[in-house]
Amino acid sequence: MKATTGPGIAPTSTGIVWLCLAAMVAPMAASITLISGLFIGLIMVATLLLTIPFRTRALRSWLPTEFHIPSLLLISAGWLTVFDLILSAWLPALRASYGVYLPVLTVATAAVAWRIPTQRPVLRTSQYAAIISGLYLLTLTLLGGLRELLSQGTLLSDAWMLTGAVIAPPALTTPSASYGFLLAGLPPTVFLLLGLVAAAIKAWRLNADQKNKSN
Amino acid sequence: MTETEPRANPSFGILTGIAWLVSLAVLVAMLITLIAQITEPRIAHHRQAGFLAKLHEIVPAKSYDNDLLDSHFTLTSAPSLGFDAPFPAYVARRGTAVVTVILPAIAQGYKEPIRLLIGITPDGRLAGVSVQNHQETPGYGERMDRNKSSWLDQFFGLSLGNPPDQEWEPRKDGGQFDQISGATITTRGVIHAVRDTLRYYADHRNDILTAAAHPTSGQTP
Repeated sequence: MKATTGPGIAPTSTGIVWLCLAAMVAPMAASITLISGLFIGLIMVATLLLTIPFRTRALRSWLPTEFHIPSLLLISAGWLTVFDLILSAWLPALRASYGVYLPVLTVATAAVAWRIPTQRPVLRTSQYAAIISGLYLLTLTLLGGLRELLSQGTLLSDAWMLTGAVIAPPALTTPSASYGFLLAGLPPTVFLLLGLVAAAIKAWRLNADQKNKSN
Repeated sequence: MTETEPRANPSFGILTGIAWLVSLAVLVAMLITLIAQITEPRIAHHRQAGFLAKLHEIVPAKSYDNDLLDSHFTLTSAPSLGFDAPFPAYVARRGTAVVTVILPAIAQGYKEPIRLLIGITPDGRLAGVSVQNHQETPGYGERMDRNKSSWLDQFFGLSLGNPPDQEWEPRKDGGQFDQISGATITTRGVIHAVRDTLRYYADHRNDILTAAAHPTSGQTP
């Protein structure tokens, strides 16, 4: 990927990879089941795509740089509050279980939105954002599902929350589900996983560099 | 800001930025206010339904015939339960007989207090305990969710003296209660809050039952 140039804080390709990984920490910790991962991923996609229009070159050209990050924080926090209210009204069970994690997405989305290279036309930037947030969605859902399997021995145990019901029907569980691998349900596992993923990427890049040199 | 640091357009100053931020904040606030007004009735409805569902974890809907949400009474402050001001309690009745009194209590959580609802039958036995809300670490808190774990069921039928006072502790501390593994503070907090509520009930039994016989009706507080 070609690194974009710019004044001081402008994004580079390496910068955005590491920033995306760092922004991933809080949403990942919150993805404890497949449904929660999907939920957090979807909210992140929506917030990011609704925040990107405020990253146009036109706006950036007249707004002093010091105000870029505060604006993005304000905008993403605003959208998240709107989503929070809508979820409380129409998907109360989902909101009751996972709504507390919505605020942690503020900084994550604002940071990714800030680092995304702005391109002409605006649509290209939005495509870029859509790809990044789509990958977030995929990763969060997969990791959430994996953690749910490991920690509870269930999958889609909270899918009923998507129907808007307030009261839970009894969840389907296997006899072995009562004692799962507790650690998998706790935040540390996800940080370990994040570390492993980062190390794997680093190793892959080093490997690729060496191949390039030897050629 | 130093001279070397480039900026997008030096001709626009800090004031432009501040004006932009302020107008953005006003716009965002207006949008949120609008959405809040649209969603308010539905949210209020769900809150009541959710609270009733919590009460039903303690008293099954078939066991009483009064309007549970409408039958609350006020008790004076109870520092041992975490209330420094008068607080509401609920009563389930069948005809004129009190089936269960439901007292709120605040337990010591790991970081934040845990709000409990504790059902006690007139003779002082536990009809059930449910967690109204908590902010425990994800992974631990689920054990207090009736839909996911039976941990709260172990309190059913117990009373003051059964088990003896010193056994109202997690097993780890020599008590008789199962532990939420890895969450000793949460476990201990809930056990102690249940015990303290039973003590409070024993100390104020007549006052509570008199108040429960004449609950005020009206909007749930």
